[in-house]
Amino acid sequence: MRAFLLFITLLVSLHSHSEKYNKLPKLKSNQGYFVVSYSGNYPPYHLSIVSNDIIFKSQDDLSDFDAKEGYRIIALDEGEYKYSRLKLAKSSSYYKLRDNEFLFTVTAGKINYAGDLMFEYQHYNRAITSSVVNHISKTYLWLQEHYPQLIDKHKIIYSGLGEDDFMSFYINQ
Amino acid sequence: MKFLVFIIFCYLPVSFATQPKIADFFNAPKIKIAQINPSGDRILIKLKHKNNYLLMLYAVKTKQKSILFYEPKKTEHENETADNIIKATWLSDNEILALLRLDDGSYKDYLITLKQGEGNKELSSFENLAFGGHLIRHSRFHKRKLIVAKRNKHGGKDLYYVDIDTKVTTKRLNDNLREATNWLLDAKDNIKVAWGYVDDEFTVWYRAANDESWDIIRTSTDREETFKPVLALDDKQSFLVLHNHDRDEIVLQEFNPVSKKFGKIIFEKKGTDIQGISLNAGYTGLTSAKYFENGVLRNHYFNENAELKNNSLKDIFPEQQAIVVSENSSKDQQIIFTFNHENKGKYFHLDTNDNEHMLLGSNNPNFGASNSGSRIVHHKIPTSDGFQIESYLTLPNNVENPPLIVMPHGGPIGVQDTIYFDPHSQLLASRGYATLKVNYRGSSGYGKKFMFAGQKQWGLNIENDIKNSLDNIIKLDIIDQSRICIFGSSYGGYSALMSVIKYPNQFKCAISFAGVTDIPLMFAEDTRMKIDSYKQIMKDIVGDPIKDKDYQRNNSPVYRYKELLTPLLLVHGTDDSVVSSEHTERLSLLLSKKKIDHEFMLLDGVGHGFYSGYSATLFYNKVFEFLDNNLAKE
Repeated sequence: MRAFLLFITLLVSLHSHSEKYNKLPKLKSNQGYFVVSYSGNYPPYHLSIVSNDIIFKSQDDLSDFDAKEGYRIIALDEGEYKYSRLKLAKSSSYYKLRDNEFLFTVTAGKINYAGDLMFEYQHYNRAITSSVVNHISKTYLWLQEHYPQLIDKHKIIYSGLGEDDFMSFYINQ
Repeated sequence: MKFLVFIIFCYLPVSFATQPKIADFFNAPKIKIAQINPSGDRILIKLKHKNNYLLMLYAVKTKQKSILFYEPKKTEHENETADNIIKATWLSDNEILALLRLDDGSYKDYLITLKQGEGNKELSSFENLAFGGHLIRHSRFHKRKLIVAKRNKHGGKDLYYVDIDTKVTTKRLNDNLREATNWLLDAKDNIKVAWGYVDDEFTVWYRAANDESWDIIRTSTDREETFKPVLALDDKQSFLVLHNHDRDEIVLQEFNPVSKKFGKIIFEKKGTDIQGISLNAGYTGLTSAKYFENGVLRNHYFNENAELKNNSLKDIFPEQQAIVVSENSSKDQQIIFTFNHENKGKYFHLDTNDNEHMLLGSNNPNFGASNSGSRIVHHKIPTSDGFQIESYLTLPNNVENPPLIVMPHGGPIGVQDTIYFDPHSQLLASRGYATLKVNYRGSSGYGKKFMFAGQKQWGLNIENDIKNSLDNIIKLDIIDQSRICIFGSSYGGYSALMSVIKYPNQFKCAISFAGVTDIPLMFAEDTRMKIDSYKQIMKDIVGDPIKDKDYQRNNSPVYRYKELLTPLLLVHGTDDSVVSSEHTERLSLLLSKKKIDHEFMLLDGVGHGFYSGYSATLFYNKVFEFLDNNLAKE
């Protein structure tokens, strides 16, 4: 009976993983996955990603990004991007992030991760500070748990500020 | 069975009474402010009550206590403290200025006016001053004026007078100089010297009088140079400065802003930096210069009377550092703060007429009657390249050959251990562990050559200094050399990991809290690297991420994880904004993949240190379990 229950649980879990995986956008040959990752005490209401040479890519508009969930996986053409506009609340206006504040690249065929966006509300001056923090290990573990097929098929790389080749070192061990 | 019950009853009081609580070592202090008013009849005290602070008045003669402000807030956990009283200071016998944090998270300055009600009951009224800046100090020249600083659009701060009675803010005291962030005011509130950074360049300005224009008298981009003006000399066109320009140690010297030349050296001490000065009551002249000697804070007095007064305090509070933190106008009623290696801090009211003193409160853990205490052994060893490495061994009393925890400090550049109260060392001593703290190369206080000799020595000479100090301590035969563990936070955590890689047979275990594990990651960790000056400092300290890649990887625990075979405890706070938890997470990920035994703990909501007894208790419960498992007597 116990073995049967375990088998059923495993089956449900595999089915759930497959369903999630199948919902991901399919990559074209010039595209890579990009993990939008958020942590902090102030979830943004709206985020936009723009490429350096295209002013606004509406298909990559993350207006329905659920910051509470923390992660979202999207497909982007190979190239350089930046997080552009940010709306902190439904009623507030857009806040333009400083130039090159959150710049990243996307490599085709890879899972690209550029760091967790962090928005922290500072009570003492009623201001919101923004930063990007590299949490690639945590992201890798999350992908392993929720999208095992994805992490099996595509290599995860860091594509944010600075160079970090830890993941390729880890995978080769 | 009766015999067993008897044993349990005999054992319980001993086992529980002898161990002060972990939280007590890390909890917010019982008293944060103790100040006497100008006439010396009332003491303003900021006192911890349950999980909050209150502001109270203590009448010296009647011993009557009255609460001025108490608005308790709930804390999420036990052993956390909510603090909504940021500052409080006497302005006159019946007026107090207090900076309070309100429920909406904002900060406001209040003028609290005191009145005697019926039956000598203290009555108080609160008035919001709304000056929109932060208080620098009460003017020493205009009794009814405050000096307030406000940030400006030029990256500097402006100084203003605020009239206490009319609440009116006057014109800028700094006139057209807007980039400065620090100011040196003379006794008449004239600003003659100012300093700050302009585009990463340290800049000093001077003007001879208020109606003259500001001149730049000094600029520097040398990160190794200290230049801190400390006293404007009224009778001369010069000021005193703590500096190390063209010399190794920081000295106290005159500086002439017109000739831009250094003058007479007022005080220097070979091998040690001068840490600061104290001024006379009128803030017009020097009383003493402060420096560390063998980890102890010393004063060199320029005034015989001040030295006599200090000697008198030494007699009243033997074996303690005692400093006057507040005194009345006639200087016969004082508030004294005492501290030493076991004493986190005690506040006393001292009547200098008869030297009678009364304890106002203690910030110490409750050691109980059975506290066995600890003692410090100071050590110094030479290095092969001509440095002297100081270390402090804390030994629990009444424990023969205790196990030892080596505790490298953080930094590694510009941090210094001293003999004074350290909650970690004292907690470990209370549990029977000795601790060794080493001021390895890179530490501050010994001159710039020593401090900057720690650059690019991660995993190299820094860890050699620690190991050599340990070898010297082992020779003394006062600790159990078969039971040694290494534990540190931040750089200290890194050092613990690298030390067990370098010296695998020396340590029985290692603990890293908030430790750096991957040097290359420091250049891809977060958006701090977008700041050029920050990036340059990091390059100076750990090398260039491209040119020095081999050095960085060869000295990173992550890339040498296979050598981490000593029992390990890895702990990191999820909210650490100094060293990201990614450092510890990736090391644990690798060790787990290769099934290398280690313990890993993420502390939710904890930052780069322990600021409450709650998080420290979570951490140390794990640490003691780990130490029991790895340092038990065989």
